[in-house]
Amino acid sequence: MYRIRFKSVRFGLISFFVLLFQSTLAYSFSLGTIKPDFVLLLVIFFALYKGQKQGMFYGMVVGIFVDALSGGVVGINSFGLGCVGLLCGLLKERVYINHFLTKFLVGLAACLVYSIVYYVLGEQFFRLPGFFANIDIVIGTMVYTSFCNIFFVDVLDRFVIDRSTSLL
Amino acid sequence: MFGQKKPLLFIPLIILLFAILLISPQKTVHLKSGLLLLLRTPLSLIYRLQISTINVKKIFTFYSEYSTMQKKIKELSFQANQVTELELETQRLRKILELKENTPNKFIVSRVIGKEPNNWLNSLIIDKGSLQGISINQPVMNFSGLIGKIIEVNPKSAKVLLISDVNSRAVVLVQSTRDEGMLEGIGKGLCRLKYLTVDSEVKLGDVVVSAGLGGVYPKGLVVGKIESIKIERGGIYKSCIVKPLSTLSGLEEVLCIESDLNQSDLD
Repeated sequence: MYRIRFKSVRFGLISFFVLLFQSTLAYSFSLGTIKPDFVLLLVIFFALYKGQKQGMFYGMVVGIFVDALSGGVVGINSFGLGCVGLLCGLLKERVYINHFLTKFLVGLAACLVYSIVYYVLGEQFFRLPGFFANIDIVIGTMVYTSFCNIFFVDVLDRFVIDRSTSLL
Repeated sequence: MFGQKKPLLFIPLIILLFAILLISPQKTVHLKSGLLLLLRTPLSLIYRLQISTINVKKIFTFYSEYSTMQKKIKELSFQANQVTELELETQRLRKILELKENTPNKFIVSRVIGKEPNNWLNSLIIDKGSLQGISINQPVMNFSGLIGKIIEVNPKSAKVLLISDVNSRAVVLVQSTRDEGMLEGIGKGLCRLKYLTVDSEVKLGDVVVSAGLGGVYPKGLVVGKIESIKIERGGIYKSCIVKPLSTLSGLEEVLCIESDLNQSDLD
């Protein structure tokens, strides 16, 4: 039987580096104007392992940092990522995350939720490129981010999750 | 027991040796060739083994030399990359210097340290802030042309809203026809020039410059070139897609135009 231990300190450090990576080197992964959202992938991963409450809290905290780096209003990314954390947390123990199709579909759904929340809130405070006029960016980001999720989960799993055998 | 029999064994052997020596060399040829034939295979085997050992030794030597060479190649290619990078940086800085010398504006040169984390907005974070004289609404350009304005200032950093962001607005002129219009960002690194009159004679490739109106951008800063032209619905206005001259996605150094001169230009 496996006993799963989540290495929080390591995850915290990884979160910090991913945040910096998202606003610097992530551009080198961009296809045209689309780059994957690695911060969103962090929130999905955390929420799937820790559940809705902690997922939402983590999403909101990370979102504040994203807001600080972004040119938008503070709180929008925080709220959006909080929603993603909450919804992905609801899927904890309901989905088998290690299957590549699940990883892709969860990434797709999370990205869609995040985009909708970001658009609905963002439109209240500043101008955004029209959702349907820029549907290519929306879909492109969703697909690219979800595709990255397939590999990202494995990498994080290796560094953050400790599966030791237990006598219980 | 064997020690006692040894002298007895030696005597016939010595006799045999003398007998062989007494035989003429012509007659021992067959014996020699027979012995040689017998020894040829093990000899060649041992020789080959020796050669192989030497070759294996050589292979190891070559491998270690190869590893050393590979390391050296990596070091040299790293150095070459650094030299290329420095060369490019020097070119960019030289262009900035030329721009500084050729224009009346005073600039604060700063490096880009971060970019917008999401795909919807277009902004940059630069390494200079209020302590270095950066203030809100300061125009930002690079040696190719205008790129945006400061929207947020911290003591040691600032945020730049790029002209391709949908929240960006600027009054501009078409350089050749002097037609005025409103330039707004549409994302994807492009801008739209709106409210040009239908009889405006703008052409593809015309350069767009800032008009100096609106209180932010000084007059005459190059913004971009017209990529496409269309007449808006209703037939009252023309609108054009403008591609900024600066590659907004690959910016490394930017120039913030100092406020006092900016203000005097505007006056």
